[in-house]
Amino acid sequence: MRALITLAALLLAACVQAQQLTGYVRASALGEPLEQAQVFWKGTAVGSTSRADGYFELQRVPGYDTLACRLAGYREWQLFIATDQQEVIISLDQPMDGPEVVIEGEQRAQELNLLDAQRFQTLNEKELCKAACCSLSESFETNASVDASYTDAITGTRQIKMLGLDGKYTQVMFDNIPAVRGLATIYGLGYLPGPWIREIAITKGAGSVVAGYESITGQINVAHKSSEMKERVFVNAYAGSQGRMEFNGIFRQPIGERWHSTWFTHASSIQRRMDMNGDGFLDNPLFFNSIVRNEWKYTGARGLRGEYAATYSNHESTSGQFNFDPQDDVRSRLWGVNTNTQRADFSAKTGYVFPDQDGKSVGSQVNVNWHRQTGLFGDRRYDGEQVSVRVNLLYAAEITEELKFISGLSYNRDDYQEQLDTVNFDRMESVPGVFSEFTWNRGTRLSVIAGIRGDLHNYYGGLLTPRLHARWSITDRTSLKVSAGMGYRTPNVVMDHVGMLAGNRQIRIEESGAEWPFGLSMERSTTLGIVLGSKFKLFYRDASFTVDFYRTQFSEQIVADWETPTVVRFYNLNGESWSNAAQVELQSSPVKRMEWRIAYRWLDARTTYDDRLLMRPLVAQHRFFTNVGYETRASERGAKWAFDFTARWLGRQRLPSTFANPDAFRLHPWSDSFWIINAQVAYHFSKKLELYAGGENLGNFMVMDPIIGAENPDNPLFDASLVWGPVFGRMGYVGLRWRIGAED
Amino acid sequence: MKNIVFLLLIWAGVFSVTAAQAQDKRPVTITFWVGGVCEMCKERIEHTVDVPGVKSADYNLSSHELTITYSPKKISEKEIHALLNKAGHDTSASMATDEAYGLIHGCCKYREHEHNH
Repeated sequence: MRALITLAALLLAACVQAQQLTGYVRASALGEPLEQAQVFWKGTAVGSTSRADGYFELQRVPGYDTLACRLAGYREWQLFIATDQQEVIISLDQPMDGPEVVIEGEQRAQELNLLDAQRFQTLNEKELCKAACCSLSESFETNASVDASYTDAITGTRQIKMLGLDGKYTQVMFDNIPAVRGLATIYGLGYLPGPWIREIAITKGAGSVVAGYESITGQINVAHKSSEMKERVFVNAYAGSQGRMEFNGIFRQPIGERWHSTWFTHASSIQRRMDMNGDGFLDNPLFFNSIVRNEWKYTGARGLRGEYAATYSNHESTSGQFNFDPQDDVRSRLWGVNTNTQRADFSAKTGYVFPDQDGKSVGSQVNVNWHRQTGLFGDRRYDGEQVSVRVNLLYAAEITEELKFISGLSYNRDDYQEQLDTVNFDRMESVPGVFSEFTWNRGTRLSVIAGIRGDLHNYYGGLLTPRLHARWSITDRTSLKVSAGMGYRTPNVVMDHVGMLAGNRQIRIEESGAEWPFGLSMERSTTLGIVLGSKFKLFYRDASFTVDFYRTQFSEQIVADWETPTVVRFYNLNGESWSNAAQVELQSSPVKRMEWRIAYRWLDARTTYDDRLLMRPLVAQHRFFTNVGYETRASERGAKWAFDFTARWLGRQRLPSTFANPDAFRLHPWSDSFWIINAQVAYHFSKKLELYAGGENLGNFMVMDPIIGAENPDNPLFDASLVWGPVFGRMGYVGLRWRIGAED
Repeated sequence: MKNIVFLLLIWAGVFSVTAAQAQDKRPVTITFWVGGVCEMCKERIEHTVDVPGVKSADYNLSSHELTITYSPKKISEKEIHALLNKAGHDTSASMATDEAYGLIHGCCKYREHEHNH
């Protein structure tokens, strides 16, 4: 619906500017006029139909310049139209023998994009507005496939999990560029504020080879709101009872005919000390985050496009014992964590679509990223710096009507300087690679995407990454998708397991090769998946049912072994390690304007610890999820109420063994099962202004003793890393979203 | 045996009567032409028929057809056409007044575009 509104607004914008394109559709350059041909802007639903004399007229849509024409029995036609062009002759040629061209509901941008046979799910802006969504990690609150959990009970850091495996195995991309990597693997999700997000696309399983070899459990691509945003200014403010204040502002400005500039700003903070579970430690860290981003988009006259963005962010965070204060002589002696992270990121995407040539395009993606984090975790001092450079050159073309491909070269360089106390983990990875991905569509029924890439890693040598995705539409309303693919990841021991620093566990890395980063091997895995999706009518409205199963099998893995208290060991896997994940999800609309989703997930993730095959700790085998959203009928000016309710149930989770501890410091081997209930009410005064208020964790469920040995942080048994549920109880919030200068 | 047959007949009779009554009450789905050219039209058309008695409505922009499921007990087909006309949209059964048509947004002026019903 939001997409429709956006489209409507885009169309409106077109009307306001009153730019019109007129022309004729003919059978060939000099042929007879063709009636009933569909002429539309590619990527939009804005179109028109040719009259008996072939004449058509069409409003321009800013940002869309590829005109397409379809008529049963003719080859689809496409042409780039310059902004000032007012007339065009469309000559359809070569009547085809095959079945008539079917109009697909979903349009795909011509350039390099995620491909549909791969994509599992898309979360749009409407979905993202259902929760308070402070940062990306919180944007999955209303989604059944991705979980967010805490890394420890002190720093308030969240990480996502897919298929029962840690977030580090999921490749996160911002605007199709791999983003949350290396030292930022865990914290990185906090670097993209929720209100900046236009859309999140989730691919379960291997994903596309174009983005590299790193995805194992899935790919999450997050698109920024940008020039497609219909309003000039977007303002979001938020205040929560946990003391969090947040402001987001987005300002869009067209500059001249061809450029579009967008400023994104974010500031958030918690300055109130709270301890709801009474363990003497702050429940949420005190922090101050500021992020600013400037984006430039270029839409050229002859098929040239560009997107250039620079982002800078600064994060300061303090957590630990209730009165800990790093600035104070006395209070700094308490146990605490104090970190500062600075990041600068520059990305440039340039694409060129050859006019008049079907689907041929070239593109380049360049990304330079600097990340520096310094911190004090109790007595431990951490210093990390990463400089990454990534270049991706792409070429896309059509071999035949049915067969398309993307090929390219990539180079990736990550320079790490990392120090924990006196131990140094400096390393430099340099990886050139080549890749090709073929997409074969047989009518509308069958679609196969086969990709392969070869990379040469300076530490680990040659890496071959084959991946395959296929979709078969058994009927118009039922489709079967299968996927298989390999993935790799270099060890990044400290920051991948940053939760271990919240406590006194010793860190022991059992090296197997001195030349490798951390002396450990590369993680190698294969993920297989099958998805059956079906759409049908229920309660006279559209409903859908999905069932999927994924298996990830590691041939090599870095095992993080928490099974002995006081120590966390890292070693190369010696034995089996896998994850099986099955999920069923039903979506329906039992009442008009109501959406109801219900999902159940079963997980079985096991790893060999020394010589014992154990369930991976802190993973719930059974999960249940339901979400209900309802909106009242909008009035003339767009006023309406929107209600949203989400309930999640997590079954018991295995906790790492604390059996070796004295009685008072032992945890039960299994956690309790629990419910998390969130609800939100929003009132839209018009399409421009809305106020929302909501509550999180309404059942007020808290893990009461999440920290072992919280009374005395000097005790070697002190450990906050075994957190299996929320440490903060019921919480309320209010906020507003204001769109200024929206044309309606 | 006879009794059973008799009972069955009665049951069948009662059932067919109630079934027939249910038939009248059961929602029906119809599809008809509605003038419209853009996403804004689609939104307006679907919003216009979002009234009590209408279960679901989907306007197809490329075929200019509205597929609507409604309960005849609560709303008639004629009333649905009237609602659309009032909002400025012509339908296969009746035309919108020029005044109503004049009020719709500039880019929705489907009468100026081609007619293809």
